[in-house]
Amino acid sequence: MSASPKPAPPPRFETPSVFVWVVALAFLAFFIQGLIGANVNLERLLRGASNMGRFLGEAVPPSMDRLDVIAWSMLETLNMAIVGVTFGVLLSLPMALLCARNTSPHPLIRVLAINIVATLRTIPDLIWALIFVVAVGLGPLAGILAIIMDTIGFCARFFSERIEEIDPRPATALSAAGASRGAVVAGAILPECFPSFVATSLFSVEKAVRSAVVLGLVGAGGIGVELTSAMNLFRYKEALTIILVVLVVVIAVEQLAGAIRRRVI
Amino acid sequence: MQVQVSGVGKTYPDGTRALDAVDVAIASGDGVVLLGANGCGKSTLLKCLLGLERVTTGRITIAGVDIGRARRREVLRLRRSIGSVFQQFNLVGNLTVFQNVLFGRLGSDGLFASLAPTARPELRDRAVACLERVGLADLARRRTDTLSGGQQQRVAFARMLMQDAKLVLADEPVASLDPKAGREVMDLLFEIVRERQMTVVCVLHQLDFAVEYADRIVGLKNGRVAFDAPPAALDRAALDSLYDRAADSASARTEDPHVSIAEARAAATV
Repeated sequence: MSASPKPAPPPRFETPSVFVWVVALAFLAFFIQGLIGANVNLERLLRGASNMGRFLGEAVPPSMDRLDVIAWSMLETLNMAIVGVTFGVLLSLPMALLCARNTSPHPLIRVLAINIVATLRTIPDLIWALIFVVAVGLGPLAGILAIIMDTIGFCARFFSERIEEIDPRPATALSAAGASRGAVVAGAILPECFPSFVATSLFSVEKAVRSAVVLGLVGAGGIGVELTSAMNLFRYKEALTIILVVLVVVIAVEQLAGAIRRRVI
Repeated sequence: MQVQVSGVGKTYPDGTRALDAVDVAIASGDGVVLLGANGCGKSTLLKCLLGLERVTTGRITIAGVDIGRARRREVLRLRRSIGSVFQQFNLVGNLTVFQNVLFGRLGSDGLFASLAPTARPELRDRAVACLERVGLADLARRRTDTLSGGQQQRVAFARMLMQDAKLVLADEPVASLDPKAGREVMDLLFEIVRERQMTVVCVLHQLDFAVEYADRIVGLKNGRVAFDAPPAALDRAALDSLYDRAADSASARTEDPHVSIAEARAAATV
């Protein structure tokens, strides 16, 4: 056997490339500028903690005086979420069929539909709410419209991804038996996607309940309206009640949706 | 239904030449089995017959309709009377057996007439009768993907009966079944085909089945018809040439159990 020199192990650390340097420096610069810009310092944080303590001291115990009003506006929030998601899901179905590669009637229509859905998704729900408050006035209708937009952005995308994943063979069998395109979609494609559509819609409900709470802050109806006015009038005991009610309802909705999802899939 | 394939060639967009020039005439009521090695063009020919793939050259006429040139509506109307049987059954797995059978009417009666809740009572009764014919009436309410492979293929036959097909195109109907289920399925398929006087074109890899069930065997090789005769004429020389084997190569034969069985049968029938 010829004695070959023992190969050395690779260095413990590779020299970073120029790209890594640039990204790391840019990140560091952004981070430091962000800290300075937000004026983060220990003194403010300590003061913040004591203010938080004062808020809690004044808020506890939560006041039960206006519990009936709060309960009704919580119900309004849930209504907004359910109505908005229902319309959103119904509109997402045709949108998803236009977006999916295997069901879209034409590549141009597909690109157009994908871009519409992407736009709906990129604009945050709070901005939709601001726009609709201008358009239809204060109240739950603006919130419902905002949730519809948000739901289409979310559901149409996930629906169309699911449609693109289907097993093409049952659809081939139905079109081989002379079924029209629409009948193939309704007979083979939608049934296969149905469980996944239900699961996605339930996620959408959870998301919508959370966002419906916040939409009230800009006047789009629901419990958010009560929360802003309680905070603005320094009625911290009432604000705490509202926050607790929201917490309970959101957790309940998530548990319920999770239970339904487990049964469907 | 008569099928006329003349000079059909098919080249895929990537340049693969699957069919070169195929000429076959199939008379009404004929039971044809298509044989050939992998990649010889059997499945392509079947897809072209269904109009799922367009032929590059030549023409295919089924019951007088030139499916390469016909309008989409005419092709859809023709497909209503063509039943397809697939290797993987191609049923909608998370729907009931009953619903899958009713889908046989999707082409001729449309969506609402073929959905279980909205179908007319006559069609619902007929679907049950079709399931009875394949021996699965008691499984009508089961989810289709809970059935065994052999049962699913029988559901596909019931769908084909529901469709009232005159021509059956079967692409390796028993390839994903064990030998016992495969035999039951082949028996049932050819019973149905014979009692309804359907024309059948069936792609098979099992030579023993081919010899047993076919009226006529068409062998494809390199995209052309290399053999076209009744099963009795399928002797060892024809098989060796079809599957490109040296005539006296014992090792080639033992590698493929189906071939040796079929040779034994072919020798016995000659």
